[in-house]
Amino acid sequence: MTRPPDKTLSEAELDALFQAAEAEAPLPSAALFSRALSDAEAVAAQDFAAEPVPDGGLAAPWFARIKRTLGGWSGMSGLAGAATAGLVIGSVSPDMFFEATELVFGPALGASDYLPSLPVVGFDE
Amino acid sequence: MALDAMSEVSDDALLARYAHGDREAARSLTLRLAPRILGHAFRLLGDRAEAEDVTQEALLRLWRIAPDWRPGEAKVTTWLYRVTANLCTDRLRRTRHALLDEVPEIADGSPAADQTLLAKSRAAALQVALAALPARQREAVSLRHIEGLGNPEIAEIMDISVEAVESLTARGKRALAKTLAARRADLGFEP
Repeated sequence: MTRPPDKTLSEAELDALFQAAEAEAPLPSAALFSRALSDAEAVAAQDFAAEPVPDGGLAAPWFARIKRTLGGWSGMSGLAGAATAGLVIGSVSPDMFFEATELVFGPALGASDYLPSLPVVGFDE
Repeated sequence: MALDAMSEVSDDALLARYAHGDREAARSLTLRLAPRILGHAFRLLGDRAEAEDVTQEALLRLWRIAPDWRPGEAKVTTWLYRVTANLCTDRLRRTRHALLDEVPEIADGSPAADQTLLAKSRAAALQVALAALPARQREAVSLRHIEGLGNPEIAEIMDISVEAVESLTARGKRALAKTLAARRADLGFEP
């Protein structure tokens, strides 16, 4: 007498199917690799290609975000230029000026690097 | 030269290198991650072309988030599986297609074939049965039993509890076992 067919697969049989699915998983085409790498290049060129690698290799996300928000290095230069102009015409306090310029050029420069010496503009010392 | 010369470097570190202009890091990440994304997307969608589009889109989102990525907060693969599932869900909502496009004919019973044909037949039959599962069961079963992830990581990807993952995979497996029992002989199992 033959036994009736089982109504479900066993655990082992199901595992065999899962293994087959893993072995037969589709592989990415060369075209997909190419498209993905083109995307990576385009994003890097647009958003963050010029950022230097800091010591330790970790990102400085706050700086990257500010730079991207301002439109890259040209935007950062614009920020520094605007701060300089603001200082000259008196609408930006010296503290704000140095914060903006340090953000772009670093902390090495002092007030004398940006302002003409007082005698040149006609003031007595 | 090794296919992935940076195989010892973590996904996090590669992403940080890419964010600082290292093109080789992007290549290594693509080689490493694209097959996993594609496989998972294919099992959720059942369509190779759509799965490739989803893979490209998921990687594009990874490139964009790279400068803001916080190492150690989440695994890159966890984030990618979640993005992939969301992209697949969006596509399935837009176009309700068959999930069966790529399923090849089952090999006829002749010399119960060559192991490769048998594996193809089994994978194809499983894909058909997976397609009939509710989406969440399909995702959980695929991640647990084909991608080989642990339940805690699946819980994070699917934003549910570990117990819910266990329930989804158990119900999914029961349904698969029942559906596929009728094809036991086709699949090379003892009748």
